[in-house]
Amino acid sequence: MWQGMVDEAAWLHQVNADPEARLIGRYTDTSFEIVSGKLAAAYRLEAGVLSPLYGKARAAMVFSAPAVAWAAFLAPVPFPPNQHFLGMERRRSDFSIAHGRPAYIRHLRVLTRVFELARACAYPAALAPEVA
Amino acid sequence: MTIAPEPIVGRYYPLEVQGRVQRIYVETSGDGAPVVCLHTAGADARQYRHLQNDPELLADFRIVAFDLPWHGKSLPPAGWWQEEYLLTVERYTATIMAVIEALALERPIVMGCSMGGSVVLELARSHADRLGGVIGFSGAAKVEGRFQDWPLAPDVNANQVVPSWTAALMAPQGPEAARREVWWIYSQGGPGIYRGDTYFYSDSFDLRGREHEIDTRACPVTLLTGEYDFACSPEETEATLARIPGAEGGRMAGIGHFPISENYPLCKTYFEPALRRMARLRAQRLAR
Repeated sequence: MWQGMVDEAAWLHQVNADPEARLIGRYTDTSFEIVSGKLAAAYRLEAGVLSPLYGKARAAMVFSAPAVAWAAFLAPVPFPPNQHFLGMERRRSDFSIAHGRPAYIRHLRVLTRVFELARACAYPAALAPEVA
Repeated sequence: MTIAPEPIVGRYYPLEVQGRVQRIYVETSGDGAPVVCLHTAGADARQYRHLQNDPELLADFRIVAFDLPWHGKSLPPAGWWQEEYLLTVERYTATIMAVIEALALERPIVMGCSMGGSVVLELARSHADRLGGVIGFSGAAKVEGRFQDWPLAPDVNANQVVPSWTAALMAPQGPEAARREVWWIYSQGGPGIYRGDTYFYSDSFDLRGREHEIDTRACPVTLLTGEYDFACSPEETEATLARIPGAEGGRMAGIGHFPISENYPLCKTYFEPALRRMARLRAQRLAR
Protein backbone atom coordinates (compact mmCIF):
# COMPACT_ATOMS: atom_id res chain seq x y z
CA MET A 1 0.00 0.00 0.00
CA TRP A 2 1.00 3.65 -0.22
CA GLN A 3 2.93 2.70 -3.39
CA GLY A 4 5.20 0.33 -1.55
CA MET A 5 6.17 2.88 1.04
CA VAL A 6 4.70 1.07 4.02
CA ASP A 7 5.05 -2.53 5.13
CA GLU A 8 1.34 -3.29 5.14
CA ALA A 9 1.52 -6.41 7.30
CA ALA A 10 3.59 -4.58 9.88
CA TRP A 11 1.16 -1.64 9.87
CA LEU A 12 -1.89 -3.86 10.37
CA HIS A 13 -0.11 -5.61 13.22
CA GLN A 14 0.98 -2.32 14.71
CA VAL A 15 -2.55 -0.91 14.70
CA ASN A 16 -4.19 -4.08 15.93
CA ALA A 17 -1.69 -4.48 18.77
CA ASP A 18 -1.90 -0.85 19.82
CA PRO A 19 -3.78 -0.44 23.11
CA GLU A 20 -4.84 3.10 22.30
CA ALA A 21 -6.16 2.28 18.83
CA ARG A 22 -8.10 -0.66 20.23
CA LEU A 23 -9.54 1.48 23.02
CA ILE A 24 -10.63 4.48 21.00
CA GLY A 25 -11.65 2.46 17.94
CA ARG A 26 -13.80 -0.15 19.65
CA TYR A 27 -17.12 1.36 18.53
CA THR A 28 -15.87 2.19 15.03
CA ASP A 29 -16.96 0.63 11.75
CA THR A 30 -15.66 2.57 8.79
CA SER A 31 -13.40 2.27 5.78
CA PHE A 32 -10.92 4.37 3.87
CA GLU A 33 -8.88 4.27 0.71
CA ILE A 34 -5.36 5.55 0.20
CA VAL A 35 -4.65 6.65 -3.37
CA SER A 36 -1.11 7.29 -4.54
CA GLY A 37 -0.90 8.10 -8.21
CA LYS A 38 -2.59 5.24 -10.04
CA LEU A 39 -2.31 2.88 -7.09
CA ALA A 40 -4.93 2.50 -4.40
CA ALA A 41 -5.56 0.32 -1.39
CA ALA A 42 -8.59 0.23 0.89
CA TYR A 43 -8.99 -0.75 4.52
CA ARG A 44 -11.72 -1.35 7.03
CA LEU A 45 -11.52 -0.39 10.66
CA GLU A 46 -14.05 -2.34 12.67
CA ALA A 47 -14.18 -2.61 16.45
CA GLY A 48 -10.64 -1.31 16.64
CA VAL A 49 -9.29 -3.87 14.17
CA LEU A 50 -7.76 -2.78 10.86
CA SER A 51 -7.90 -5.12 7.87
CA PRO A 52 -7.69 -4.87 4.07
CA LEU A 53 -10.99 -4.06 2.36
CA TYR A 54 -11.54 -6.22 -0.69
CA GLY A 55 -14.22 -6.03 -3.35
CA LYS A 56 -15.89 -3.17 -5.15
CA ALA A 57 -17.59 -1.47 -2.23
CA ARG A 58 -16.58 2.16 -2.10
CA ALA A 59 -14.70 3.19 1.01
CA ALA A 60 -16.29 5.76 3.29
CA MET A 61 -13.43 8.14 2.62
CA VAL A 62 -10.65 8.55 0.08
CA PHE A 63 -7.30 10.27 0.64
CA SER A 64 -5.34 11.10 -2.48
CA ALA A 65 -1.80 12.41 -2.97
CA PRO A 66 1.31 11.72 -5.03
CA ALA A 67 4.12 9.61 -3.64
CA VAL A 68 6.16 12.65 -2.69
CA ALA A 69 3.39 13.86 -0.38
CA TRP A 70 2.96 10.48 1.25
CA ALA A 71 6.72 10.27 1.73
CA ALA A 72 6.60 13.59 3.54
CA PHE A 73 3.81 12.36 5.81
CA LEU A 74 5.55 9.07 6.57
CA ALA A 75 8.87 10.62 7.58
CA PRO A 76 9.81 9.69 11.17
CA VAL A 77 9.68 13.38 12.12
CA PRO A 78 7.70 14.99 9.31
CA PHE A 79 8.36 18.52 8.24
CA PRO A 80 5.42 20.88 8.71
CA PRO A 81 2.63 20.77 7.63
CA ASN A 82 2.96 17.05 6.90
CA GLN A 83 2.49 15.95 10.50
CA HIS A 84 -1.23 15.43 9.86
CA PHE A 85 -3.65 14.93 6.96
CA LEU A 86 -5.41 18.14 8.06
CA GLY A 87 -2.20 20.11 7.70
CA MET A 88 -1.60 18.65 4.26
CA GLU A 89 -5.15 19.42 3.24
CA ARG A 90 -4.76 23.03 4.41
CA ARG A 91 -1.32 23.78 3.04
CA ARG A 92 -0.52 21.33 0.22
CA SER A 93 -2.15 21.60 -3.17
CA ASP A 94 -1.30 17.99 -4.08
CA PHE A 95 -3.18 16.38 -1.17
CA SER A 96 -6.93 15.98 -1.05
CA ILE A 97 -9.67 14.29 0.88
CA ALA A 98 -11.27 13.24 -2.37
CA HIS A 99 -14.34 11.73 -0.75
CA GLY A 100 -15.92 11.46 2.67
CA ARG A 101 -14.61 14.48 4.54
CA PRO A 102 -17.56 14.41 7.00
CA ALA A 103 -16.79 10.76 7.73
CA TYR A 104 -13.14 11.65 8.30
CA ILE A 105 -14.14 14.38 10.73
CA ARG A 106 -16.39 11.95 12.62
CA HIS A 107 -13.59 9.40 12.92
CA LEU A 108 -10.76 11.87 13.36
CA ARG A 109 -9.56 10.65 16.73
CA VAL A 110 -9.01 7.03 15.87
CA LEU A 111 -7.85 7.64 12.31
CA THR A 112 -5.21 10.06 13.52
CA ARG A 113 -3.80 7.23 15.59
CA VAL A 114 -4.11 4.68 12.77
CA PHE A 115 -2.25 6.86 10.30
CA GLU A 116 0.50 7.99 12.64
CA LEU A 117 1.26 4.34 13.40
CA ALA A 118 2.12 3.87 9.72
CA ARG A 119 5.25 5.97 10.22
CA ALA A 120 6.90 3.22 12.20
CA CYS A 121 6.23 0.83 9.31
CA ALA A 122 7.49 2.98 6.45
CA TYR A 123 10.36 1.63 4.35
CA PRO A 124 13.25 4.07 4.86
CA ALA A 125 14.30 3.73 1.24
CA ALA A 126 10.85 4.77 0.09
CA LEU A 127 10.93 8.11 1.82
CA ALA A 128 11.81 11.20 -0.11
CA PRO A 129 15.54 11.95 -0.01
CA GLU A 130 15.04 15.18 1.88
CA VAL A 131 13.15 13.48 4.72
CA ALA A 132 14.67 9.97 4.86
CA MET B 1 4.20 15.26 56.40
CA THR B 2 2.67 18.23 54.68
CA ILE B 3 3.01 18.86 50.97
CA ALA B 4 3.51 22.38 49.71
CA PRO B 5 0.80 23.40 47.26
CA GLU B 6 1.50 24.92 43.89
CA PRO B 7 1.73 28.74 43.98
CA ILE B 8 -1.42 29.21 41.85
CA VAL B 9 -4.39 30.73 43.68
CA GLY B 10 -7.85 31.02 42.11
CA ARG B 11 -10.71 33.47 42.79
CA TYR B 12 -14.05 34.28 41.18
CA TYR B 13 -14.87 37.85 40.13
CA PRO B 14 -18.39 38.99 39.20
CA LEU B 15 -17.56 41.45 36.42
CA GLU B 16 -19.87 43.52 34.29
CA VAL B 17 -19.00 43.16 30.62
CA GLN B 18 -21.09 44.96 28.02
CA GLY B 19 -23.92 45.41 30.51
CA ARG B 20 -23.99 41.80 31.63
CA VAL B 21 -22.52 40.31 34.80
CA GLN B 22 -20.08 37.49 34.12
CA ARG B 23 -18.64 35.31 36.87
CA ILE B 24 -15.02 35.03 35.83
CA TYR B 25 -12.48 32.65 37.31
CA VAL B 26 -8.99 34.12 37.69
CA GLU B 27 -5.79 32.38 38.76
CA THR B 28 -2.68 34.24 39.89
CA SER B 29 0.83 33.29 40.93
CA GLY B 30 4.11 35.09 41.48
CA ASP B 31 4.96 38.64 42.36
CA GLY B 32 6.15 41.49 40.18
CA ALA B 33 5.26 42.95 36.81
CA PRO B 34 1.75 41.74 35.92
CA VAL B 35 1.30 39.42 32.95
CA VAL B 36 -2.25 38.67 31.81
CA CYS B 37 -2.53 35.37 29.94
CA LEU B 38 -5.20 34.56 27.37
CA HIS B 39 -6.08 30.96 26.51
CA THR B 40 -6.83 29.57 23.08
CA ALA B 41 -10.22 29.03 21.46
CA GLY B 42 -12.34 26.46 23.26
CA ALA B 43 -9.82 25.95 26.05
CA ASP B 44 -9.16 27.52 29.45
CA ALA B 45 -6.48 28.98 31.69
CA ARG B 46 -5.02 25.60 32.58
CA GLN B 47 -2.94 26.01 29.43
CA TYR B 48 -0.74 28.40 31.42
CA ARG B 49 -0.05 26.11 34.36
CA HIS B 50 3.57 25.59 33.35
CA LEU B 51 4.21 29.32 33.20
CA GLN B 52 2.31 29.82 36.45
CA ASN B 53 4.59 27.30 38.16
CA ASP B 54 7.90 28.56 36.75
CA PRO B 55 9.94 29.77 39.75
CA GLU B 56 12.37 31.75 37.59
CA LEU B 57 9.59 33.92 36.23
CA LEU B 58 7.43 33.98 39.36
CA ALA B 59 10.26 35.80 41.13
CA ASP B 60 9.82 38.76 38.80
CA PHE B 61 6.29 38.51 37.43
CA ARG B 62 2.72 38.19 38.68
CA ILE B 63 1.12 35.76 36.25
CA VAL B 64 -2.65 36.19 35.86
CA ALA B 65 -4.67 33.71 33.81
CA PHE B 66 -8.44 33.63 33.56
CA ASP B 67 -11.15 31.55 31.97
CA LEU B 68 -13.28 33.50 29.52
CA PRO B 69 -17.03 33.29 30.24
CA TRP B 70 -18.39 29.98 28.87
CA HIS B 71 -14.96 28.35 29.42
CA GLY B 72 -13.38 26.31 32.20
CA LYS B 73 -14.67 27.45 35.59
CA SER B 74 -16.31 30.63 34.26
CA LEU B 75 -19.88 29.50 33.79
CA PRO B 76 -21.97 30.99 30.99
CA PRO B 77 -24.43 33.68 32.03
CA ALA B 78 -28.07 32.84 32.75
CA GLY B 79 -30.03 32.30 29.57
CA TRP B 80 -27.14 30.65 27.77
CA TRP B 81 -29.39 27.83 26.60
CA GLN B 82 -31.30 30.20 24.35
CA GLU B 83 -28.41 31.95 22.62
CA GLU B 84 -25.66 31.10 20.19
CA TYR B 85 -22.18 31.72 21.55
CA LEU B 86 -20.16 33.85 19.12
CA LEU B 87 -17.15 35.78 20.39
CA THR B 88 -16.63 39.18 18.80
CA VAL B 89 -13.75 41.65 18.87
CA GLU B 90 -15.78 44.01 21.03
CA ARG B 91 -16.85 41.40 23.58
CA TYR B 92 -13.39 39.85 23.79
CA THR B 93 -11.52 43.11 24.36
CA ALA B 94 -14.15 44.35 26.83
CA THR B 95 -13.78 41.15 28.86
CA ILE B 96 -9.99 41.37 28.99
CA MET B 97 -10.05 45.02 30.00
CA ALA B 98 -12.68 44.28 32.69
CA VAL B 99 -10.32 41.73 34.24
CA ILE B 100 -7.41 44.17 34.10
CA GLU B 101 -9.52 46.84 35.80
CA ALA B 102 -10.95 44.51 38.43
CA LEU B 103 -7.50 43.42 39.51
CA ALA B 104 -6.19 47.01 39.32
CA LEU B 105 -3.30 45.90 37.14
CA GLU B 106 -1.05 48.78 36.18
CA ARG B 107 0.18 48.53 32.60
CA PRO B 108 0.16 44.72 32.47
CA ILE B 109 1.90 42.81 29.73
CA VAL B 110 -0.69 40.74 27.90
CA MET B 111 0.24 37.34 26.52
CA GLY B 112 -2.16 35.34 24.38
CA CYS B 113 -2.21 32.27 22.20
CA SER B 114 -4.16 31.60 19.00
CA MET B 115 -7.25 33.81 19.23
CA GLY B 116 -5.50 35.33 22.25
CA GLY B 117 -2.45 35.82 20.06
CA SER B 118 -4.53 37.79 17.59
CA VAL B 119 -6.56 39.85 20.07
CA VAL B 120 -3.38 41.24 21.60
CA LEU B 121 -2.95 43.17 18.35
CA GLU B 122 -6.33 44.82 18.85
CA LEU B 123 -5.41 45.55 22.48
CA ALA B 124 -2.14 47.16 21.39
CA ARG B 125 -4.03 49.22 18.83
CA SER B 126 -6.89 50.40 21.04
CA HIS B 127 -5.52 50.30 24.61
CA ALA B 128 -1.81 51.04 24.25
CA ASP B 129 -1.90 53.57 27.09
CA ARG B 130 -3.14 50.91 29.50
CA LEU B 131 -0.64 48.16 28.67
CA GLY B 132 3.03 47.40 29.14
CA GLY B 133 3.33 45.38 25.96
CA VAL B 134 1.83 42.36 24.23
CA ILE B 135 3.14 38.94 23.25
CA GLY B 136 1.06 36.93 20.81
CA PHE B 137 1.53 33.28 19.89
CA SER B 138 -0.08 31.91 16.71
CA GLY B 139 -1.70 35.23 15.88
CA ALA B 140 -1.89 37.48 12.84
CA ALA B 141 -3.89 40.36 11.43
CA LYS B 142 -6.12 37.83 9.69
CA VAL B 143 -6.40 34.07 10.10
CA GLU B 144 -8.54 32.28 7.52
CA GLY B 145 -10.53 29.10 7.65
CA ARG B 146 -10.95 28.14 11.29
CA PHE B 147 -14.66 28.99 11.73
CA GLN B 148 -16.60 25.89 10.75
CA ASP B 149 -20.01 24.45 11.63
CA TRP B 150 -19.21 20.76 12.02
CA PRO B 151 -18.61 21.00 15.81
CA LEU B 152 -22.38 21.41 16.17
CA ALA B 153 -23.36 18.60 13.79
CA PRO B 154 -25.47 16.04 15.67
CA ASP B 155 -23.45 13.13 14.30
CA VAL B 156 -20.10 14.57 15.44
CA ASN B 157 -18.83 13.78 18.92
CA ALA B 158 -17.28 17.17 19.49
CA ASN B 159 -15.58 16.25 22.74
CA GLN B 160 -13.40 13.85 20.76
CA VAL B 161 -13.24 15.56 17.39
CA VAL B 162 -12.51 19.15 18.48
CA PRO B 163 -9.44 18.12 20.52
CA SER B 164 -8.24 15.85 17.71
CA TRP B 165 -8.79 18.66 15.18
CA THR B 166 -6.71 21.08 17.21
CA ALA B 167 -4.07 18.53 18.26
CA ALA B 168 -3.15 18.19 14.60
CA LEU B 169 -1.60 21.64 14.88
CA MET B 170 1.14 20.54 17.26
CA ALA B 171 4.71 19.44 16.51
CA PRO B 172 4.79 15.62 16.69
CA GLN B 173 8.22 15.56 18.30
CA GLY B 174 7.10 17.64 21.31
CA PRO B 175 6.68 16.09 24.78
CA GLU B 176 3.81 13.61 24.51
CA ALA B 177 2.37 14.20 27.98
CA ALA B 178 2.08 17.92 27.29
CA ARG B 179 0.48 17.36 23.89
CA ARG B 180 -2.02 14.94 25.40
CA GLU B 181 -2.84 17.52 28.06
CA VAL B 182 -3.69 20.03 25.36
CA TRP B 183 -6.02 17.42 23.86
CA TRP B 184 -7.63 16.73 27.24
CA ILE B 185 -8.35 20.38 27.97
CA TYR B 186 -10.03 20.67 24.58
CA SER B 187 -12.18 17.62 25.29
CA GLN B 188 -13.83 19.52 28.13
CA GLY B 189 -15.19 22.50 26.25
CA GLY B 190 -18.92 23.16 26.07
CA PRO B 191 -20.88 22.49 22.88
CA GLY B 192 -20.22 25.12 20.23
CA ILE B 193 -17.71 27.05 22.33
CA TYR B 194 -14.65 26.23 20.23
CA ARG B 195 -16.68 27.15 17.17
CA GLY B 196 -17.88 30.39 18.78
CA ASP B 197 -14.31 31.38 19.62
CA THR B 198 -13.13 30.71 16.09
CA TYR B 199 -15.81 33.15 14.99
CA PHE B 200 -13.57 35.79 16.54
CA TYR B 201 -10.35 34.23 15.24
CA SER B 202 -11.39 33.79 11.61
CA ASP B 203 -14.37 36.07 11.09
CA SER B 204 -14.88 38.97 13.50
CA PHE B 205 -11.20 39.92 13.74
CA ASP B 206 -9.52 41.42 10.69
CA LEU B 207 -6.84 44.02 11.29
CA ARG B 208 -5.57 44.08 7.71
CA GLY B 209 -4.96 47.61 6.54
CA ARG B 210 -4.90 48.97 10.09
CA GLU B 211 -1.70 47.38 11.37
CA HIS B 212 0.05 50.75 11.14
CA GLU B 213 -2.31 52.10 13.82
CA ILE B 214 -0.30 50.13 16.39
CA ASP B 215 2.37 52.29 18.02
CA THR B 216 5.02 49.95 19.36
CA ARG B 217 6.73 52.84 21.16
CA ALA B 218 3.63 53.09 23.33
CA CYS B 219 2.98 49.34 23.49
CA PRO B 220 5.74 46.95 22.38
CA VAL B 221 4.57 44.01 20.27
CA THR B 222 6.11 40.57 19.89
CA LEU B 223 4.47 37.87 17.74
CA LEU B 224 5.75 34.29 17.66
CA THR B 225 4.35 31.37 15.67
CA GLY B 226 5.45 27.74 15.58
CA GLU B 227 6.55 26.23 12.31
CA TYR B 228 4.10 23.31 12.68
CA ASP B 229 1.14 25.66 12.93
CA PHE B 230 -0.95 25.31 9.77
CA ALA B 231 -3.89 27.32 11.14
CA CYS B 232 -1.89 30.52 11.46
CA SER B 233 1.32 29.94 9.57
CA PRO B 234 4.63 31.58 10.47
CA GLU B 235 4.48 33.32 7.11
CA GLU B 236 1.15 34.93 8.02
CA THR B 237 2.53 36.10 11.34
CA GLU B 238 5.66 37.43 9.63
CA ALA B 239 3.52 39.32 7.12
CA THR B 240 1.71 41.02 10.02
CA LEU B 241 5.01 41.84 11.74
CA ALA B 242 6.25 43.47 8.56
CA ARG B 243 3.34 45.89 8.64
CA ILE B 244 3.79 46.96 12.27
CA PRO B 245 6.81 49.25 12.60
CA GLY B 246 8.93 48.18 15.56
CA ALA B 247 7.19 44.85 16.11
CA GLU B 248 9.42 41.86 16.80
CA GLY B 249 9.27 38.09 16.66
CA GLY B 250 8.81 35.49 13.96
CA ARG B 251 9.04 31.74 13.51
CA MET B 252 9.62 29.22 16.30
CA ALA B 253 11.29 25.96 15.21
CA GLY B 254 10.12 22.58 16.48
CA ILE B 255 6.79 23.71 17.89
CA GLY B 256 3.18 24.15 16.82
CA HIS B 257 0.03 26.14 17.51
CA PHE B 258 0.01 25.75 21.33
CA PRO B 259 3.58 26.65 22.24
CA ILE B 260 2.96 27.75 25.82
CA SER B 261 1.33 24.43 26.70
CA GLU B 262 2.57 21.87 24.14
CA ASN B 263 6.25 22.51 24.86
CA TYR B 264 6.75 25.09 27.60
CA PRO B 265 10.54 24.72 28.01
CA LEU B 266 11.12 25.33 24.31
CA CYS B 267 8.55 28.11 24.14
CA LYS B 268 10.17 29.88 27.07
CA THR B 269 13.43 30.23 25.16
CA TYR B 270 11.55 32.31 22.60
CA PHE B 271 9.32 34.51 24.75
CA GLU B 272 11.40 35.15 27.88
CA PRO B 273 13.75 37.73 26.30
CA ALA B 274 10.77 39.71 24.99
CA LEU B 275 8.94 39.47 28.31
CA ARG B 276 11.91 40.75 30.30
CA ARG B 277 12.54 43.51 27.79
CA MET B 278 8.94 44.67 28.08
CA ALA B 279 9.16 44.53 31.87
CA ARG B 280 12.23 46.81 31.84
CA LEU B 281 10.47 49.31 29.56
CA ARG B 282 7.38 49.18 31.75
CA ALA B 283 9.42 49.86 34.88
CA GLN B 284 11.12 52.84 33.22
CA ARG B 285 7.76 54.23 32.14
CA LEU B 286 6.20 53.85 35.58
CA ALA B 287 9.24 55.49 37.21
CA ARG B 288 8.80 58.69 35.20
